[in-house]
Amino acid sequence: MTVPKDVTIAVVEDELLAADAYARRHGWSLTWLKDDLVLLADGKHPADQSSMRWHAHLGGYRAFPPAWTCFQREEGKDAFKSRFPKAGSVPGGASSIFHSAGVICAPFNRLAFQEHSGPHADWGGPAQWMNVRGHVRATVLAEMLAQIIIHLKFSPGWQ
Amino acid sequence: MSTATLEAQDRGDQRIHEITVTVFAPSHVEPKHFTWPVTNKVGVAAAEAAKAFGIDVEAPTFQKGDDVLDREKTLVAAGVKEHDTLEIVSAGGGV
Repeated sequence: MTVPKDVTIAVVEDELLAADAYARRHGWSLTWLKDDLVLLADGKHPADQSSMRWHAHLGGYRAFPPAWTCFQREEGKDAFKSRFPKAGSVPGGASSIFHSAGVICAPFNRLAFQEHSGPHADWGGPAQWMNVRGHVRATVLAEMLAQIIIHLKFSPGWQ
Repeated sequence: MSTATLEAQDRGDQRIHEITVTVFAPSHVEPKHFTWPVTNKVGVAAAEAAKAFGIDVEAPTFQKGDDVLDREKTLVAAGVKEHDTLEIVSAGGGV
């Protein structure tokens, strides 16, 4: 299944206002790189207040979920290195979405699916991402960002 | 005590035992306002708010500031106060 680039752009831009409002309410900022189909979310890791960036590649969205990767700003530099938050204990007994393999392990991350080298062969493939139940559910960008920010609160630091 | 006084007292108690809060949903720009008994469970109130927003949330709860509220607690036990601002979030996990 191929999603035309202009369709993905229209879908993302339809969601962007709410996602940006959520981000601002929680001290984060979003940058939409339309030509690259990339959304950047910049904020701080609550554990050490270091600057971090989530990179969401949105090719194929919403037929497929975004591919989320994480970076930490190098101290004193305007550059980022690939790093991933540690999993922490989430209240209510829920598992952290931060997997030791360095991926967000939730249906809203394309990289969680085995087809993209992720741990999950049991979710029916990335095209079924919105039908996976029993796990954290986030089907629009603002909800994904909310889950990332919430789980970060309980992350004790970096892997 | 007169009937009128008793009725007035009842109305006063009812006001004390309900709270009005502002609720945001991440996927919506505009918030909604809800009034609930303080004895409502967080999960029940969050599910009601999610329905009002028309969103499908797994194990809905509220985020208050940086805190994620326990779905099983009552609103008052979870520390929700009159005129608080809450955000609907999913309490589901990953992995």
